[in-house]
Parts: sequence; structure tokens; C-alpha cells
Amino acid sequence: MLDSIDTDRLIFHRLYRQHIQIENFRSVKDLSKLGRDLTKLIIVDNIAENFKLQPENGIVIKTWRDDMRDNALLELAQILLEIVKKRVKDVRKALVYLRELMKRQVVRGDNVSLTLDNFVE
Amino acid sequence: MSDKNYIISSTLKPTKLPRSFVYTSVRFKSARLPRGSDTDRTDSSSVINKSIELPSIFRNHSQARAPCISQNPDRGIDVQQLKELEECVWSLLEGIRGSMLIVSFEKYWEISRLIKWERFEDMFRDESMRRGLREAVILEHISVALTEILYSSKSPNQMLDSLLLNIHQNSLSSIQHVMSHNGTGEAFRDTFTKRIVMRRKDQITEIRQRNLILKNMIKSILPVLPTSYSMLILRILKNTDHITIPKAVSAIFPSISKMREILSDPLFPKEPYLPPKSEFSKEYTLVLDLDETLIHSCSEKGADKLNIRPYCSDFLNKLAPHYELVIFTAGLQSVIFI
Repeated sequence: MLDSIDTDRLIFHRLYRQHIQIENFRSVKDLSKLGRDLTKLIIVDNIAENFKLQPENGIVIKTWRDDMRDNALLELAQILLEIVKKRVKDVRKALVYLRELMKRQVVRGDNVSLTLDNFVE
Repeated sequence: MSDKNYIISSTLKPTKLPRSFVYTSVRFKSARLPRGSDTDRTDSSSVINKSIELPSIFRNHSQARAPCISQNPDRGIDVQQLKELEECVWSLLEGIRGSMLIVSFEKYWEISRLIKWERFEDMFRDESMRRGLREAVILEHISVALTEILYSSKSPNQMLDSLLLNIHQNSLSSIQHVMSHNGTGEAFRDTFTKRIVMRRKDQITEIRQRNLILKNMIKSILPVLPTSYSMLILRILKNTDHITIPKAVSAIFPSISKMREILSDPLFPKEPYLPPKSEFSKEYTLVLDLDETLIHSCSEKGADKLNIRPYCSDFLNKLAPHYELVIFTAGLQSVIFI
């Protein structure tokens, strides 16, 4: 199934059910157990609770089932590439910045357009 | 590559390692021992027999025994039961040292369940005493749980050994304490009674000091456990002053067998989950959920259907040069080929 979306074998590692902790009957993906620097790690999940142990590393993406007009991945790719381009030292700070930016735009009633243009670490 | 370890399939049932010791198969024979034969440990040569003998607690329970401490049955605690619990800890210690074949954790939990812990807590008017003793009891249950989860006949158990040794010391002190406690909290009339009280205070200091050591030992063991359980234990350790013994026990006990199962599962992942980074690794890591994030799988009229989110392959192709991509999914894929 994974192979149908990863025809070019771009995905390095695959972690399955046994890597997930069950807590109060909810699954939790504990990022601290991956063996990667948390300042350089981002998780994308449609359920925020899945990364509640490291909420500052997470991006929640809209749950998707069959809406073919959905372009969340397109927008997300843009932001993730910007983080790389800016050579962000601590991704968690960038995500906090983006969250705040989004909040402000929503409050003002603006269209949400996220960019790290004015982000300084 | 180590990715192989991550293959799971529904057809491949996780093979449980054989339990390293006989655990439930030995039933306590309904021995009718003369009353008192299990009271004191004068007969140390029969430790092995003792472990399978029916403790008094399992005998006909209709013949209720009078609490040893107080004549008032509502207030006392059965010291006999505390002694049986202590004996259990002792046989667990002998068991993990390999001098005994049978380690009965079941017996420990059975006896603990029968003890009126709320009475135990109520016995002590002195707050510091109550806290110290309650903490000792909670730490004992945590330690027994950890031993039950982590004990293995194949590897050395030094850590568990010293854990249980300290627990046992505490248990003896507590019993001594309970026995010398009259439970009334009346004023001390003479210097002799005062001295007894002072001795009790010493014991409490000892217990509290040992509690501290035990807490640190437990904390050092926790990282090998699944996060959910170690976090639960940590929470209890932090709150021993505010949690009742029965509450603590009912939190500690139910997951034991599940934790053992998880740990003995050969598929239980070893941390860190990902292989170390190499000089060719990307600087950033992107962890992606699968179902309802990148794809959606559903079965319609018995046929599995797989929807792929728009821009999915675009997304992966664009990011792969910059991010180490990791799929982290809770999905119930039946078979995944790597």
C-alpha cells in the first residue's frame, strides 16, 4: 500500500503500530524515541493527540478521505521547503512563529498565507 | 538493513517468549496448616514449600480473624496479612536470585487485595508517619510490579534484587511499626513510653530514607519500560502524599501482564527506532502519518479501496531531497512489504 504512493522509494524509514505507545486507549507517537534531534524534526499528522508528547514539533493537517480538490499537501510542502531554505536552527521556533502568524491572520479576517519571510531566530 | 525489524503482518502473530518462570500453573494446594505455622519464619528451610503452600489468606475466609492491633474491628489492620505480604516479597527475592523455581507474583497481589489499606492509612495520627508508611507501601507495590514485568531467568537481575532487598527491609520496619503502634494516639505517660515513641520516630526516618533510595532506583529502571507505563509510575511517585494505597495499586496492577507481553514481544522495538544518522543523512527529519494524512483506505462492498491525497507524490518528491522522510503510522495494514 505504501509502495503505491512511494514509487520512487523516497521514504527512508517506516514505523508501525508497535512503535506507538498506547495511553488511555489513545495512541501516542513519542518522537523522543526516534533517535533524532528534536530541533530538526517535524511531524505531520491529522490527529494532534498523536504527538501530544512533543506538541511543539507537530503540524496538524486536515483529515483527508476523498476530497480531490484538497491542496493541503501543496501548501504544506511550500512551508516545509521554506524552513529548509532559511536553514532554521530550531524548527519548533519556526512552527510557533507560523502558528502565531496564522492566528493573527485569522483574527484580522485575512486570507491565511504562511511564510517565514519575517521570521528571525 | 535494519528496516527488516519493522515488518509486521497480521499473519505473523507476535511470538510470545516462554514465560521465564512458572507463574500461574501452580495452584495453591488447599493445605490445612495448623494456625500459626505460616506466621513466623522460623522454618527457613522450607522456603520452597512455603511458596506453594496455601497462605492463611486463601483458606476458608468465613472464619474471620480478629485484627491483631485493635479490638475494634473497624479500626485495626490484620498484621497477619502484612506478614504474609512480607513473606511474599521475601520469596520473590529468593526467586529472582534463582534459589527457587517458583515465583508467585499472583500470590502477592492476591494478598494485597485483601488487606484493608485504608485502615492501615488511618492508623497513624502522625502525618509524617502516615506519609512515610504509605509511601513505603506504594513503593513496594511499584517495585513488585516492575520485578514482575522485567524479571528474566536468563539475565542477571541485580537491579531488581537490590530493589526488592530494600523493599523487604522497609516491609519489616513497617510491620514492626504497626505492631508497636497502639493506634489510639493517647498521651505518653512515662519516659519509657516516650522512648518507645522516639524509637518509632527513628524507624520512620529510616523508612523515609529508604523510600528516597527506592524512588531513585525505580526512576533509573523506568526508561526501559513503554512510555505510557513509565509515565504512570512517575506520576504516582510524585504524588505518594496525595494518592491512597488502593488507588495506587489499582493503577499499577492492571497493565502488568500487558507490559510483560510487550517487552517479551520480539517485535518490541529497541530504541532509538531509527538507525543513526550518517554523513549522507539530511539535516531535517519529516515524520508523516499515513492514513487520512497522505492516503485514505477504506473497504467498500468488501473490496479494499485506496485513495491517494492530491499532490501526494509531488509532496514526497519535492521534500525528499531535503528531509529524511519517515512514515509513522498506526494503521492496521495487513501486510507491508518493504
